[in-house]
Amino acid sequence: MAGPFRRWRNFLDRGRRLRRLEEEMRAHVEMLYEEHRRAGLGPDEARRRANLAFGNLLTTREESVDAMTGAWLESWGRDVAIAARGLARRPGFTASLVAILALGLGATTAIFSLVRGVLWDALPVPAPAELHLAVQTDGRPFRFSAPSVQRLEADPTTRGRVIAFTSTEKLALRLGDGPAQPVQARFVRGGFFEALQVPAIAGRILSAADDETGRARPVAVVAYRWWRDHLAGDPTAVGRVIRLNGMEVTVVGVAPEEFTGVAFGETEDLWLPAGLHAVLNVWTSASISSRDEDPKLADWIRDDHVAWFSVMLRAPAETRELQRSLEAAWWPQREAFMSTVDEPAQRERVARNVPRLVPSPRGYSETRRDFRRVGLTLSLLVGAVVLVTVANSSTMLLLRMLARRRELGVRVALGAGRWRLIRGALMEGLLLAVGGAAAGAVLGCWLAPVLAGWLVPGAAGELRGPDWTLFASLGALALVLGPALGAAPAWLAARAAPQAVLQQRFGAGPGGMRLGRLLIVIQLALSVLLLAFAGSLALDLRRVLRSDLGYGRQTVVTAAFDPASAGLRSTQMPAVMARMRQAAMSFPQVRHAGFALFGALSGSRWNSGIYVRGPSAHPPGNAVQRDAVDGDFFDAMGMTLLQGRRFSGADTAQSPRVVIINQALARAVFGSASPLHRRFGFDSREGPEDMEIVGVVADARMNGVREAPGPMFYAALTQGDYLPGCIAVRLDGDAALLLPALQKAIGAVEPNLMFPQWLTMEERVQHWVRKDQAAVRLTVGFAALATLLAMVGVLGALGYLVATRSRDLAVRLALGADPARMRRGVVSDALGLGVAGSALGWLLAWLLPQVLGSWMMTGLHSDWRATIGAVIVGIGAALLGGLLPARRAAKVDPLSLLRAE
Amino acid sequence: MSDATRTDLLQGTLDLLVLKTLAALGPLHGFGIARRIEQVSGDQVLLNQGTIYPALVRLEDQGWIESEWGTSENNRRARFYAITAAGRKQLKDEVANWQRVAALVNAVIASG
Repeated sequence: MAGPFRRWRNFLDRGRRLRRLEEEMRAHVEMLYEEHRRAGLGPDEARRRANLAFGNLLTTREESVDAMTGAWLESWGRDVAIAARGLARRPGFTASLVAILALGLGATTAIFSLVRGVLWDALPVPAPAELHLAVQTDGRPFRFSAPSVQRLEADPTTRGRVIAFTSTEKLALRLGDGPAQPVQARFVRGGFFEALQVPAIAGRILSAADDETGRARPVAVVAYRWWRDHLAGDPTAVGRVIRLNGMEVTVVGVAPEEFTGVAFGETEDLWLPAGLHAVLNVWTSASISSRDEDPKLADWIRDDHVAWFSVMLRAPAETRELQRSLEAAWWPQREAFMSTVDEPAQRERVARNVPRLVPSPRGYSETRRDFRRVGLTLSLLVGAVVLVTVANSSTMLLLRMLARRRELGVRVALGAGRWRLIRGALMEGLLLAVGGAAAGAVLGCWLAPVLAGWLVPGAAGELRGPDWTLFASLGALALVLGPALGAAPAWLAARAAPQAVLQQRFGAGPGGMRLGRLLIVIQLALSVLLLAFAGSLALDLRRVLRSDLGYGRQTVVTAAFDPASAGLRSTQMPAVMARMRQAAMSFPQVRHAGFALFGALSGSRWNSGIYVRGPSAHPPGNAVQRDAVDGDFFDAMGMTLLQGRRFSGADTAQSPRVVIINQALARAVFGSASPLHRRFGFDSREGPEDMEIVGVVADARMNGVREAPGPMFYAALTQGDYLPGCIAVRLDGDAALLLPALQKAIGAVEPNLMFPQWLTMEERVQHWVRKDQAAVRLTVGFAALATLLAMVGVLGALGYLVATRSRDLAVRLALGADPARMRRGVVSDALGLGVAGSALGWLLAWLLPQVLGSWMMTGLHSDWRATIGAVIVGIGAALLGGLLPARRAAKVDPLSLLRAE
Repeated sequence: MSDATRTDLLQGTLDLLVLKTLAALGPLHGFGIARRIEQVSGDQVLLNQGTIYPALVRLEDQGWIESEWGTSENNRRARFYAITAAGRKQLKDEVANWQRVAALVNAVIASG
């Protein structure tokens, strides 16, 4: 083999070589001329003869150029042409291979673009690498008080670098005289956009002057998408006044289209100065420490006890100075927190939780956190599917190569280089891979948004579309896949023997067939693995859906609402609630109607540290989850009261405070002792805020269908300054039928109150597991695809075997062999493949979760029932694949074959 | 010219002839190679002498021959080609291959 290096050098040097060659050729003609002259010819005749003998100088020169430029390209070009011709000769075969690869690569593209978009894409701002988020020890954003943020903004080290923002909140928006509609807003400090380096495409961004303490201006910057959808993309919309929670707010600017916010998965329709939250009466997520009464909303902007801001700093690197400034700004907040905590363990916890700056070009996103395990699992599945498709295509190419043994032998005999045959095989693989990648790209681009809709519902719009990096990766994948596909046939080509031409028999060489069998076993194993996982996921989901969640599902309807955004105060709520209850109870099918602050599956969670009074109580380890409910809530939700009583009309703001705890809290704090009439409070010292336990309610999955219920207590709605946010209605019979009428009746009570979604608890549960359902659907789809491919592999391989052995079979049949026995031979062959593949698959299904354990999403373990099922399906698929060849084996007609000889 | 008895070269065989010539005679320039092939074949081979130049490029690219400038017998500057070790090996393979194919073809013809 000539060194590729020399060829490369010759190729680069071709200009000089050509000039040299021209000189040689001219000299050659001169020598011919001189020879003729010496032989005594006249100059003209000598010239004519010389030219004639040499041939056309121009053509020769061109051929030489071809030889030069082509020498290294040409051989590859010829390989491509040969491979393409070879593939085109069997369009059905080629098309099915391309289709198989396209499926595998399309799935890869879609999943990869989704995983990349969710897990890797940086925030849509300039120089995202400069963003650093202040986090707690658990990696979640640290929460800062407003004064901490102001101190940080004033520090010369961090001035102009501070990006401070709150959680997103739903507000009630009215445009003109239109009805109230929900809008997602984020409160941000005035310097938010400037530090993010996000300009306004119309109007202006927020400034520090918009957000002066106590004098926040009623202004808003709106998101491009929202501007387009709700303000018709009107440039004159800047300056327009909209009503938010009943307040007039002026739109001052529009953010660029690409800027969708600072947290992937959270919709941000508009951004408001942080100081507006009190005016708009919005309670953002906050961590509050106080001994007595909670700080009033209006004081949040000045109080170090309320931590409600996440902070990012923009800086080229997280220097020690930045970290020092951050801690210095935070210190008074820490002191304020510490002053409210007496318990040593809790003091230590607070002391240990120091904000730490970490580079976060992607910002922080709960959606991403949730998606991580799903994404890893999906990548794993896709990897398996790609392996299956490659193994499958490789098997097919190998079988075809086996069928071409005679042709290969002839070509070797006629002097075709073995290297050339190997390259031809690799080239076929490459062409197929490139074709598959191209078709896969199209399929993937179509599939990606569909998958995004399933797996990260609501965030699909934030994902970037396919771009060159995606296609480049796909191209690179094809380049790797190509040789992988062609490797097996190339190996076979390398063994092609010229003697084969002279022999009359072309039985399957033991080597080629052994490799083919191995590839099929691998395919079957991966199919069994995928089937086992798919089955396990499905079983797990079914188990979750069938388990007792602690509340009714078909018969319970709930809706969330926000009195604050309707301008309702807590003092007005008892009357509003009474009218809503009345509206609900006017339907004869309605049994109970109850209210809660959050209710079940709300997505909100409120935790408080508690101090239990009296002896023989274990202090609850961490902050305890809480909610506030009225007397009918448990009945309306179908939750079981185990001990004690419900809240009643006698529990008023003036009467002693009472509380109902759940089983988990009772068990954790009191063990087997009765919790009734015991007391706890929020301060280490006893006080009037202490509550008496009057009841124990059964555990229920309030936070999610998978999250095991933790300790929790329910205060009385009537005994605190609570704004209820959830209504639950229990009915006889099918709730779905009554829902529209119920919705209308309750909605009519208070026209300003929005009920974004009335759903039965069953629907909420389904909604909650839709990502799991999507994962099950995907896994089942992949598993089915893999199994189908494996089946085709078995069919192809055994079919080939029968075809090549048909002569033997015919002879044996002619000699009186039993066709049934020959059929059995093929079937047992298929069974062997099935058993081997299934055994390997079983092993993988058992091994993989052990190795990857903690990375995997919940439920991706191998359930033994699912694994057994998968093994049965795997063997079944192999048998099914062997069926057709078996029938053919038994149907060989001895006469026709012998005649054909 | 009566060309009836002159033979068109089979594709690829010119390379074999060039290699063989260089192996037998040592370094030669293009003119010398062409002349030699004509002589040995007894002018039986139909050859545009120019066609050996693309062949020389091909062989050099394969690393089977190498070349350097020299002076011809009539004091003319000429490029001299010499066979390499790889070229000798290739020649051996090609000769063996040629004989195998020829035998095969002969056998088939004879059996007819």
